Amino acid sequence: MNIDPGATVTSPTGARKIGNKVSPSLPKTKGPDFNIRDQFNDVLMGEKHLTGTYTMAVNEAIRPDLRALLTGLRDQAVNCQWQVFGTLYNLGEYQADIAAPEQAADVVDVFSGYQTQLPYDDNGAPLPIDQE
Amino acid sequence: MTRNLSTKEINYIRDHMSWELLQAKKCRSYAEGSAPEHAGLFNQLGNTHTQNYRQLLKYMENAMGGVLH
Repeated sequence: MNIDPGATVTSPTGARKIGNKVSPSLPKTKGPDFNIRDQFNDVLMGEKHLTGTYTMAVNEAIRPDLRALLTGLRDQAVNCQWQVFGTLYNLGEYQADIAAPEQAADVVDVFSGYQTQLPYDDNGAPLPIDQE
Repeated sequence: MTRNLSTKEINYIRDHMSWELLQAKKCRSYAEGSAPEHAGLFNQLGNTHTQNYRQLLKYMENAMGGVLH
């Protein structure tokens, strides 16, 4: 599935967003009928459900062969979810607010500072800790 | 040869077979009424879920030592 995560659109009010222009191939009128958009979203919800529940099943498995099977099926569900999401994204169904660059800088700032708390050095050696 | 499964494992397999089947049916049904460019994806996903169902069933057949019928 190919998507362009760098695509942006401008909303009617002028807000720039991550996403694509809404495709004319999806119905314009949004009525009570269960249309192709609803069908896509229904299948997407099903795939997201499967990714979550397979992950839970993997966590609970005892037999290694069953765990391997469930892990494979989880990966299938993850892939199916991506196919549906990508299709909807390319059809312009997903538009996300763009974070301000300062918000990204803030994360880097805060967590750069926390690095002094990391309990192992770059070579994997444990650092001394104070025992209360 | 039969192999022991926990009740929890069997319940997860049972649930997932139901969900794979439901998802396969949905995809098949939605492919039927949609434009060709969308039907392709629905059919592809429907096939995947059909195969996943079969894999789980096969695992259970092997676990109990063979097919029932």
